[in-house]
Amino acid sequence: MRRILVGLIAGVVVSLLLSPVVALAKFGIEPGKVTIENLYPGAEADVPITLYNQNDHATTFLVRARSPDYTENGYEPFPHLDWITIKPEQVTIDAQENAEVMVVIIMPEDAVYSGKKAEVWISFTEEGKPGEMIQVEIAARLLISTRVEEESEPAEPGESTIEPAEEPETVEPEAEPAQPPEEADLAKPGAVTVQPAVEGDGQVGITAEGGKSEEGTGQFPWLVVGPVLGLMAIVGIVFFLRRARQRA
Amino acid sequence: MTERKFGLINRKETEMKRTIIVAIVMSLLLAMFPVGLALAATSADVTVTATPGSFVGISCDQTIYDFGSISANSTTNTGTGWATITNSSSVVIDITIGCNGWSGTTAWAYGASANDTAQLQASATFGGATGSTGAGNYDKVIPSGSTTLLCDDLAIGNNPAWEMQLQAPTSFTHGYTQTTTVTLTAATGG
Repeated sequence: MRRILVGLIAGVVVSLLLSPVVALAKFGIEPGKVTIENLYPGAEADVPITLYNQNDHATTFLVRARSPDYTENGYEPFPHLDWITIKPEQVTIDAQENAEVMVVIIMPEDAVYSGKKAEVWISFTEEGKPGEMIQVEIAARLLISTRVEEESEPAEPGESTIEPAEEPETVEPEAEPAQPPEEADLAKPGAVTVQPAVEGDGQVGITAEGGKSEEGTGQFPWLVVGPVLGLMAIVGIVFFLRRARQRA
Repeated sequence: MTERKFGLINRKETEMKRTIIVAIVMSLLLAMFPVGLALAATSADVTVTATPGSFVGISCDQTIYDFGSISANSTTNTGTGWATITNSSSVVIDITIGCNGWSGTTAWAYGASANDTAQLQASATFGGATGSTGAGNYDKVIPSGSTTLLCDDLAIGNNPAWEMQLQAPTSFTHGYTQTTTVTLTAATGG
C-alpha cells in the first residue's frame, strides 16, 4: 500500500524531460562508407570526411571512433580503436557551412593483425544540450583489410580473415571496376587481398598513402641499386667524354 | 686533304653527338630512378576508396517527450507518428536506436516487469522488410548500452514516422524523476 502511495502521491512524476520542444538537428557527412585495403604494420591511411552543418545556427560536433552497430558480411568489429586518431575530435561549424575531419589510421610496426577484415564506425554527434532526450548520430563506416603477412600467426577459429592469395603481390580484380566497393567486397570475399581496382566508374580514390618500407616484404632494394646505377652512369659519361676528347 | 679534313670533322661531330646523347640518356636514367621509387612507394600500398556522393544525413523533428505522471504496471506512449525522421541521404541507409539507461536521484533499472524497472519501446513506419513492423506496434525494445535496428535499408527520400512507449515498473519505491537519452544512428545500409 505504501509503495502504491509513494508512486501515486509523488505523482510518480516520471517527467522524463521538461517539456516538448521542437528543435531540428540537421547535419550530414560524406562519404558514408570508406574501404581501406592492404593496411600493414607501419602503414598509415588518411580518410578525410566532410561534415555538413545544415542547421541555421553554428553547431559544435563531437567526433569519435567506435565499434559498429552492425558489420559488412565477412567483417568483424575493428578491435584496435587506439590506432585511430581523429583531427579534430570537436569542431564548431557555422550555419550552412562544412568542415573536413581527418581520420588517421596508423597500424603499429609491431602489430599482429594480418589478413583481417574489420569494420569501425566514425561517429558524429552534436554536442549535448541539457534536457534533450532525442539525439541524432551519423556514422561513417570504415571497412579495413589488412595485408597477409608471411610470418603471421594462424587465425583463431571464428575470426574473419582474408584467404591468402596465391600470388600476394599481383592484382586480381575479380570484381568489375564499375562495381561499388561494398558490393564487390560482399560478393567475393578474399578478392580484395592486394591492390584492388581503385579507380573506376562509381569509385574515387581519396587518399593513397604508403607507409614506411619494410624489410622482407618483397620490395625491390632501390636505395642500394639507385646509387650504383648513378655511379655507373657517371663513369660512363666520363669515359665517353675522355674518349671523344682523345679522338679529337 | 680537304676531304680528309672534312672527314675528320664529321667523325668528330658524330663522336660528340654520340657522347652527348649517351650522357643525356644516362642523366635521365639517374634522375628518373629516385622519382620512380617515391611514386611506387606511395601508390601501390594502402588504398583508400569511397563511393562518391554517398552523403548520409538525417534529422528528427522532436527532441523531447514528457511522459508525465505514470501509474505502476502501465504503458504510456507518445502517440502514433509522434516524430518524423527526415532522411536527406543520397544512399540507402539503416537507422538503429538505443539509449543510455535511466538516470535520476535514485535511478530505475532498465528492463521490464520488475520493481523500479522500466524500459522504452519504439516502432517506425517505413515500409521495409526488416526493422520495426509498423506504426503503433512498439515492437522494438530500445536497448540500453547497445542498439537495435529500427529501419533497415531506408530508401532515399523515405522519411519514416516513429513513436515511443514507456513500459512502467510493476511497482515503485520512490517517485524521483527519471531521464534517458535516446539516440538515433544513421549509417549506410548493407
